[in-house]
Amino acid sequence: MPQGRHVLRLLLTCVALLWTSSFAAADNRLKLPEGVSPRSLHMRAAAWRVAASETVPKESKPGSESIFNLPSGDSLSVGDGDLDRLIRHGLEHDVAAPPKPLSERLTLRFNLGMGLDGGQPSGKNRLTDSDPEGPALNERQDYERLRIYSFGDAVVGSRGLGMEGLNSYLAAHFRYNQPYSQHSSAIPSLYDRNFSQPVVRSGYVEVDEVFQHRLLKPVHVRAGRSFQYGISAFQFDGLTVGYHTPALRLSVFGGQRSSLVGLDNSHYRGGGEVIGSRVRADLFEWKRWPLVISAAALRFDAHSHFRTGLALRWNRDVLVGAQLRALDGEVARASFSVAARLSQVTTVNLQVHRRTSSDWSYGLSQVSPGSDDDTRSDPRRYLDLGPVLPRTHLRLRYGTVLLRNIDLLIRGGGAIDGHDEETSGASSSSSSYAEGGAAVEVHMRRAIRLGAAMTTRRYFLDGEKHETPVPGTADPLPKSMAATGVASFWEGGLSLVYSPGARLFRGSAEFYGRRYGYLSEYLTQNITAFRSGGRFSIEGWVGKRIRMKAEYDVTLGPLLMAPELRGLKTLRVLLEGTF
Amino acid sequence: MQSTSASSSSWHIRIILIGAFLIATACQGTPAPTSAQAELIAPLRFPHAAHTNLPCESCHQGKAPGQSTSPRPGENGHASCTTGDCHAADFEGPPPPLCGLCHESLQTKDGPKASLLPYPPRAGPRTEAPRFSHKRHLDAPQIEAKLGFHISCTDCHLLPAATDTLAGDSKLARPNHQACARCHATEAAGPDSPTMDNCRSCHEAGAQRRRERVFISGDLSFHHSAHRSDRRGGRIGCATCHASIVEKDSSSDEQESGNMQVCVSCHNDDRRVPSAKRMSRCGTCHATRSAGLSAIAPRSHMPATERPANHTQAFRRDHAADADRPTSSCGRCHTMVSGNRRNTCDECHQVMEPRNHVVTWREYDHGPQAVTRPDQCTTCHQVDFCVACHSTPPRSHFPSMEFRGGGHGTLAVLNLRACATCHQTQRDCSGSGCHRGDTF
Repeated sequence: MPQGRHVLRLLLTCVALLWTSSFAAADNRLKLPEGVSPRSLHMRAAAWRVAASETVPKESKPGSESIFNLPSGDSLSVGDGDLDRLIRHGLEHDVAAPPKPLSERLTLRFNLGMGLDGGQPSGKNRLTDSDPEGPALNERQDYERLRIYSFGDAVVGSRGLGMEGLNSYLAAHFRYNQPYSQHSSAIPSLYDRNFSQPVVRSGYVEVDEVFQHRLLKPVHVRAGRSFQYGISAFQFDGLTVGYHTPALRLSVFGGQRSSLVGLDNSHYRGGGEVIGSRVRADLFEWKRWPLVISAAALRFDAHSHFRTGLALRWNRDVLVGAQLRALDGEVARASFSVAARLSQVTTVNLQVHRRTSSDWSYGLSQVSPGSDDDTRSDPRRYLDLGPVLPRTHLRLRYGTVLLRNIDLLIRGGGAIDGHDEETSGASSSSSSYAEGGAAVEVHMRRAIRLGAAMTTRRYFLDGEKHETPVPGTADPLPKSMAATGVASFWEGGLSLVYSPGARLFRGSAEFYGRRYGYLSEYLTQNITAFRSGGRFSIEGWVGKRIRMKAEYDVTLGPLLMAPELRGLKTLRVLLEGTF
Repeated sequence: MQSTSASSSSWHIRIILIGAFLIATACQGTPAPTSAQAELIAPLRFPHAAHTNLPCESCHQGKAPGQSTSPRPGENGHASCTTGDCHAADFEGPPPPLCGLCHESLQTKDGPKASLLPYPPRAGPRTEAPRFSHKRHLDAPQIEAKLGFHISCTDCHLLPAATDTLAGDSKLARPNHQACARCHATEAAGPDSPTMDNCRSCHEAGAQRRRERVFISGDLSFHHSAHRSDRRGGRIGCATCHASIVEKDSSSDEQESGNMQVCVSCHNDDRRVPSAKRMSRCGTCHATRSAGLSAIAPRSHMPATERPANHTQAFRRDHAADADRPTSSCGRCHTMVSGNRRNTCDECHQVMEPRNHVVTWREYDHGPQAVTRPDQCTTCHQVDFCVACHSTPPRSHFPSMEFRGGGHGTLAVLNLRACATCHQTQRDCSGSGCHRGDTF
């Protein structure tokens, strides 16, 4: 019946067009000037009929491509307009989406590499040698000059394989260190000790479109090990049920927190159980109201976390947002941000945060500093981040491209630490500071890129100078850490990149220098340490799927804190395949 | 005190200069001139905006009998201009500048007939109908459902004198009233379709949008006819360059012009473009080459920059919002990610190291940075990662007896704060009975 109506409309339209055009010449109004007759009106069959009979060009990848990425072949011949193919191509997806090829349903990536870390002894004494004339670094007892290790990653992902709407993802990593008996190596690693088993970073199965009802179609379920973002990023084994539409994203998740480095959950109250939810409503997508409302709640280690946010989406490119996070019912952090894209390449990003002393020490899994409730068996005992100080933090970044070539980034920021009745003194993990930085990158003729970057930062250390040390006795500890540590930092770098094209070949060289100014309560003069180094890498592609890479990272010049070494260096070679 | 004041004013000047610099650079690449700017660019254009109090028909009086096109306003002895009190006096004396709106040369009315300027001007900004939707015109199913046919780009973007081919053209013409009339003339208009007897169907009163060519400008030359097929004969679709035009619902939307990256993708591919037309041959598109810093080819022209133009250094830091968009397509190029858009930031953040993570980062550099921005670390690292290293004595702690016995003093004097990152001084230093002081 509807088809009949269409035919009737078509006929009526044709008759109307013919009839009106015959009267056009006699009409005195601006209605139908003579012009070129339409080239293709009435000449095409309905798109859905054409779509069913057309063959899809070999180059095309229906289902995955945007409808704007037209195949370059000419196998579609009906109709003259180029957009004809475009529209018909798009309609095919609507009418009868052909099955995706296996290459698009399955992602397989692996890399396998070998690394060599080393640091050649200089023959000088260590800073910790109590006897200046005593032996230097003893390679037989406490130092491994070279260390060889192998590493690799494997990633397998599927989308719609076996069943439409069934996705899976597995990402695993391994690193195997050459066993050695010495106490230390040149470049310490968490793999140096008893940790060499493969790590599964993510491994989950996800089912989309669990229900076929129109309203329930956006429901998805994910089970397995995955990361969760929201209040904080963390990894967990469990279940996530979500409802995602452009306007509304809702998810509920629960399970047990997992660790990438083998730290068990026995030290967490509740055995590491985590449960939470997130919701985000984009009213712009729904009613064109420029608001985005979000909220998230989470419970872990007997702590409750809650975050709510409101963002004004001025338009597609300007977002003004405010967030509030609470920990155990107390305000832990308030944030305000403006992110604006003034043009395709010009962006401004402003962030202001206010942290209170109720905030966590590091993240979900390190809420308190770790001094009171951690036992000697708790590995967190040796991560003493000190008391959480109230802090106001400001960051501003501005990026643009000048003269259509010079990629410029300017950034600045700072933080002011405060005190309240719950905190006194400074923290070893916090300092007021101010910083500024800039980076430029210029694309020279024929695939050569030159870059330069610099950062300068000043830490505001304050506190009383300690009394003069008494020789031969153990010095008394200072009252606080407020007047000790890194007081200034400067970094400059240059880079040179050669790349004749993406996924062909790339060679790069980077040089950097870093200067640290230390302030010590026990010394009358400030100490400056300068470190410099270079990193050189080459990578080449064999076809479109195999990449080979070698990278050499080396320090240039002595290390103030390690005079016993000439420097540090590491060499890595890598073979990667993506299928 | 004076020096403080001088220092303060110096800071103010610096801040003002930086602000001015930022604003100046932000204005780079402003897309299209506004209506007011366009008036300045083309002062001799007829100012429609100044005539909105008149009905359209008072000037556009329709075509005369026997004529195929609508006569230009003023052809009837300037009647549309001299009627009323507005411009009657201008046509009595010597030719005023007003005549230059339509005529090439200013002549007295007794002289030879002055030739007319082409209208609309071929160059300069063009006034666009505010109520035009490419999206609606290219919605083939919708149009087919209503009318039984659909249209394509070249049904409207015809050459002025074209017959049925684009061969040999220099520029595709912008559709004029003739092109619109084929479907929107009163007699031809389909159901619910705007008709041209009502100018306000498209030309909203007071809303003028003028737009100049933004991409093919200056010394750049471009021929649509040369871009219908590539070297191998493969056809090049309009949407290859004008990708998002089909989504534009209003002429006030930012119109999609060509994108240099699309140019580069073909002109850097010897299978599609002959060597004489490669990106390295500036003369392929540019008549002249500038000197100075701008003589360096822009980054968008470089084959190494096949990444999107917005992937700047700032983007490396602030890409979260873009990646979070439902339409994000990071996985198309970053093949290490699965393409799943839900909670998949880790697919990159667990494998890609930031640039500053050099060989000394782990042992010497990360501490001050973590003090500065601990939240930045949590983007990739859970606390377990920190614990795993901080629980292991560093190289300096060996031999342990010597280190404990006093060897640690020098390091502690240099940077006591580093010790306190792992050691609770109350427990490990003064609690052991060695050091006095237990206040922190």
